[in-house]
Amino acid sequence: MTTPKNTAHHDHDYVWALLPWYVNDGLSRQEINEVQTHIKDCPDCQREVVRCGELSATVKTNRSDEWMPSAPHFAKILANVDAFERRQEKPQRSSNWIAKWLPWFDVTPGPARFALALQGALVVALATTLLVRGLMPVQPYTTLSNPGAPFVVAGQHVRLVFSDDITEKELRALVLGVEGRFVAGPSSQGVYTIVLPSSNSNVQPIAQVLAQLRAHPKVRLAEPANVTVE
Amino acid sequence: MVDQDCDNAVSYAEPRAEEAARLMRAVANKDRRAFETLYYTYSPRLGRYLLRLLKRREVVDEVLNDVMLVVWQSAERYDPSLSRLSTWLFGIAHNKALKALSKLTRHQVELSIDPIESDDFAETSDVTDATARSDQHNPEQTLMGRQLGRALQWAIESLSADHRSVLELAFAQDYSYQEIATALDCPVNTVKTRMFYARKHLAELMAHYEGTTQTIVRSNLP
Repeated sequence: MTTPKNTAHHDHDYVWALLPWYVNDGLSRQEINEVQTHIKDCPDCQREVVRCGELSATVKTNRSDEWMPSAPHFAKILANVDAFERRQEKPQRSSNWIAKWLPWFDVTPGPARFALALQGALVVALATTLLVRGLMPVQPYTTLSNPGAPFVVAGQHVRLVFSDDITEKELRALVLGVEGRFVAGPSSQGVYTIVLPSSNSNVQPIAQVLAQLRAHPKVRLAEPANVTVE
Repeated sequence: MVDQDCDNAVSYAEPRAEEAARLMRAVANKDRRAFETLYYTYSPRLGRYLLRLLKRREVVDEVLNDVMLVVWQSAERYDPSLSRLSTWLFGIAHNKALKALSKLTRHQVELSIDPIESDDFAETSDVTDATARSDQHNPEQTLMGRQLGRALQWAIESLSADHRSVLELAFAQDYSYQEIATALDCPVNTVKTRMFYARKHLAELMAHYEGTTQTIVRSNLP
């Protein structure tokens, strides 16, 4: 191997630089002509052509640098490809969503961003609360009245008709005297319904209660009703 | 695809441009059979090139993995009107090799890349460095009893990665300097400069070798 002489003119340097590609047939037709014209009269370049040929042969014939493909290696490559494909599939949806909204978010002023973020957080909190409540078991709403069901009071029902001149005080004393309670009335015919306590050891028999009621001078009618609720 | 050029050299023929373009279109369409064909067609040349630069087979395997993944990811970017497919592939391989080299050098492995030379021919320090590297290889022992071809091979391995890459692409792959510039993504003048210094370093190393063998021969004389 030789280096260009310090005194060599431009053509020599130019051709000397091209010699590796002259050897590997990598020059244009014009460059080949230039090289051939020069090396006819340049022993340095002639020797360099030979050396480049030796170098080329050495590089080409170095078998220690051979690398052979193999099925296991290709399997590793495919595993990498599969991993890459999986990564691509997952974030694509979310990245599309982000890509759609990001420009809009970018042009939003800072305070508005904060307000929107707060609003968004509240919406999320509300939605979460509703969702949680929706998942909880429903408890019936209870009131003092139940208009859907018939008015039923447990006990023996008795229908009463009083004389017109009975006072409220007399009426109250009469009903309390038999431990009754008004549950209906007066009807259009002036009929009241009371209920007596359910039968137990401390309660008078119905016949005795009816006799007591009928004995009152201002009671016109005292009859047991057909309704008896336990 | 395998051609036997001579008794000692094995080379893998480059598919025709239309065939290569068709192959790449298929790979771009995620055709795994085409990808496999591409791998078996080009990986021997790429692997050899990487081995020349990186010197370690296990690292070459990894880098080639990365290269093939890049090919799979960006096959549609290949433009047959701009370069041969192999040139495009060598470009990817070279970039991946440089990254692997920088990683290796960070781990204080004995591999190096020269800084990019200026285009004037005024470099001297690299010759000294290369000669110093050759001393670390203990050339007296290495070269004794070996032939000139082995010495030249050793000298090539003593070059920097940038210089080795230019030599490899020019002499093993028979690339023109324009194709090397495309593959290495550098100006044509840089390719010529690197080739110039590679030859200059080789000349220095071979002179060192010849001087050493003469000394040994002289010392063995009665």
